[in-house]
Amino acid sequence: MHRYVIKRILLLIPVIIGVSFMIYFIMDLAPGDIITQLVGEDASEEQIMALKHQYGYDRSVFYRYGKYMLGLLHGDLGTSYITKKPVWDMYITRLPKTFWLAVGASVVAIGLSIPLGIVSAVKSGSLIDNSCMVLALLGLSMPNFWLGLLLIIEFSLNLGWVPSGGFRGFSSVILPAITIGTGHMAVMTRTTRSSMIDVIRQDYLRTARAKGVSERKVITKHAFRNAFIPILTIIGGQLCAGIGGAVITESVFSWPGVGRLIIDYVHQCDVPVVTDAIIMTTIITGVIHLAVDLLYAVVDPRIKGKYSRKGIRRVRVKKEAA
Amino acid sequence: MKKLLVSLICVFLICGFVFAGGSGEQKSASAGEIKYKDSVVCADGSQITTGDPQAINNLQHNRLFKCSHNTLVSYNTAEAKYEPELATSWEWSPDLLTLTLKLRDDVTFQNGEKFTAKDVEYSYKRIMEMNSTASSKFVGVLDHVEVVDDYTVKLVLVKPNVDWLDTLALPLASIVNQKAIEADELKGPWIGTGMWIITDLEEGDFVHMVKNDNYWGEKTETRELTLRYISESSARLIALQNGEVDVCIGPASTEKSYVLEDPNLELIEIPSATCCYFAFNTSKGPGSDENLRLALAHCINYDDVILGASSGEGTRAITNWGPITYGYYDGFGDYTYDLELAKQYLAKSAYKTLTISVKDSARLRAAQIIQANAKEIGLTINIEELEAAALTAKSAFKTAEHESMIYTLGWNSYGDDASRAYGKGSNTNKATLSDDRVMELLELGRSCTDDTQRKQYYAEIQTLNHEHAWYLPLFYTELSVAINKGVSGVIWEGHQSHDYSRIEVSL
Repeated sequence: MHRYVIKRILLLIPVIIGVSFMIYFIMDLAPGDIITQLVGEDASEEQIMALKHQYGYDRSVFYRYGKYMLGLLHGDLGTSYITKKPVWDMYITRLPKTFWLAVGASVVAIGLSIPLGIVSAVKSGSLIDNSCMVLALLGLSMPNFWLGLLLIIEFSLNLGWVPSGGFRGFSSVILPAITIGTGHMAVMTRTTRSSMIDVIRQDYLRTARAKGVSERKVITKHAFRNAFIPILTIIGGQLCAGIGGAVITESVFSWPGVGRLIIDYVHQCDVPVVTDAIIMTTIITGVIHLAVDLLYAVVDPRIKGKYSRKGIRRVRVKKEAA
Repeated sequence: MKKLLVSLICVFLICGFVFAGGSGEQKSASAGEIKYKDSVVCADGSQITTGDPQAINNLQHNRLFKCSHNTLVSYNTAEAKYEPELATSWEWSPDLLTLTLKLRDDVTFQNGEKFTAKDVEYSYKRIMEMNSTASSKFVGVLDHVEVVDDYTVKLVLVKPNVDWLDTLALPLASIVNQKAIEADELKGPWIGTGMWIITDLEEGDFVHMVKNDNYWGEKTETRELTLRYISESSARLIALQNGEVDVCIGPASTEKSYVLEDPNLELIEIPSATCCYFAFNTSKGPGSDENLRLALAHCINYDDVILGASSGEGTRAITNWGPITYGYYDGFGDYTYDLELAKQYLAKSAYKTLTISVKDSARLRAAQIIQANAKEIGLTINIEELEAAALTAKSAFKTAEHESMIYTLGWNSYGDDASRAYGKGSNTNKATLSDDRVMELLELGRSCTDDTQRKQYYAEIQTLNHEHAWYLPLFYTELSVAINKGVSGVIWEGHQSHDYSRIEVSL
């Protein structure tokens, strides 16, 4: 198990190098530059040259990238060209807000989709099933900016229950979490349904029922646990997407999260902020996926065996025997 | 299953009730009979990234710096005159190269340090060394600062510039405290002599300020002031409607009716200093042909352009000069809409096609209308839509590659601001003009103290532009702000650097 975890973490290194390389070069190819952002269109030639020298823009992009990576290796994420603040400080201020939004959206999505998916699978082909699927389709089809605005108008403007935007404590998480969660809910409901339908038809469930196990227990304990792995994969993926930042929802709700940090600073050509924020998101995504992989073992003991050295050896022996 | 669903919904509803937020506490403070809100919130669609006035020069930051810092002089737009701020009086030397200012002796910074002439010297030196947008206003203009005594300072210029006072009135020329900056490079520049102390700045979210009880000037009843960043215009207006904010900059034109229908809100329309105009690249290609330029000038239906590009919420511009800018002149009248005349000009031109570069949807719509207008006289117009940074790079003075473009310039009030649009080498000179007479007139205007004469110089520049059609003025944009009806004390500026420092909201 430990070897597996270490291997997965080490695999993140080439991923980070690849991602940083791509972002750095894409930012360099994009039109405009940080110098214009800093001194404006009216700057003199001397000012422009001095700034180009200061930020290494009088040298090749490879030189700048090398210098940046050297800093990264020493744990220095660099300083924003625009705010002059350490990028780490800027990122870490935004991360908790994005984290709460991602978790809130996942809670909404899981809380709605799993019951709907299970009911839909159990009552497959019925009116309830069709209604659940229509609901899921609706969630998938509604654009976030539209749903977000509708929720703001109803719950903030008309009812005055929650603030319209910004990060103002728990109450401000509710509307953006519902907005993002509704879209996630749609995908998860459909996945839960199809996964449950596959499992429900298995022989061992029929055996359990024949043994007199209650239907509720059959579904929740025996069927759902076996159907959970694909759902867990989706949850992990959606949590990663949330941590990366839901730009549109963050804009509608004026949410000071990572998504808006990246977008705002892409427009201003602030390379260190954009590159670092994406690298941090890559690392978090890698860790979440690793956690999801490890959770497979908790859900399904057969997978746990495969992670251990014995398990790996057993698989090899079986292959050789075959 | 039902229980689970019901409990989930209940949890959210209860949370909503328990944690429902509003505009925070609204304890009233009495001032005579009127009661005011303690905490005021102003919402804007652009984010504030720094509290350092010398690091950046744009509208949303200027609004902040007018609250937290002071300049030596200020400009009263309504009365078109300079007023004392940290300086009590000033005097020009006969050669217009030295400006001597007497300073207030009763001012302290927000950290308790006394304000003296050395702070002026430090602040202006810092601007020149910073290499920021602010520096370009000082570098090449200010030679050095001489401290005469604690409350007298001399500013020695490189060459005469009668508009220098205007630069001193800009928020970028705010006075900062050396000790504070040396102690904390990031937050030190937040310390000014203004009415409001910046306590918290979260870029992408808000700037929070509290009232400076030791402020040297007249104080407001408000105790806390927050500038919030709400990028989406509908969300910004909703925040105003439900009382979360008191000021909403730039409501969407389609949503202004909600403001007008709401008895608690008010819509303020401010004459804008922003001009949208058509710029030909006069250095090469079709834009260098005066006949083509005049052909286009006479075939454009300007009313249609205003209707299409700004939903009719614009004012026809006769000159591309700012309407509140010193030296504005429109005595030459409008270009007549005359297709026959336009055809005659086009017949004399060697060019029959022209490309317009644009960067956003409003300008794209304007370009499409012009394209349709030009078709009627046989002029083919191609539209090239570019990303903002790409267009800036393409239209830079030295390397200009564009044939023509639609540009929007936010004008300042002083005369020499024309150097941005007309000066040789300026990247805002989108016509890439280098006409000798225009350059001479700009130079004369910059050093002329005779008001009538100076206005004549600027009138001649605008007349020349009208005759040669380097720039075709289209319209002045309209500026709207939606506010809580109780808001008072704000100075609304046409150039949008509104002064919130004395804002009060009556309950």
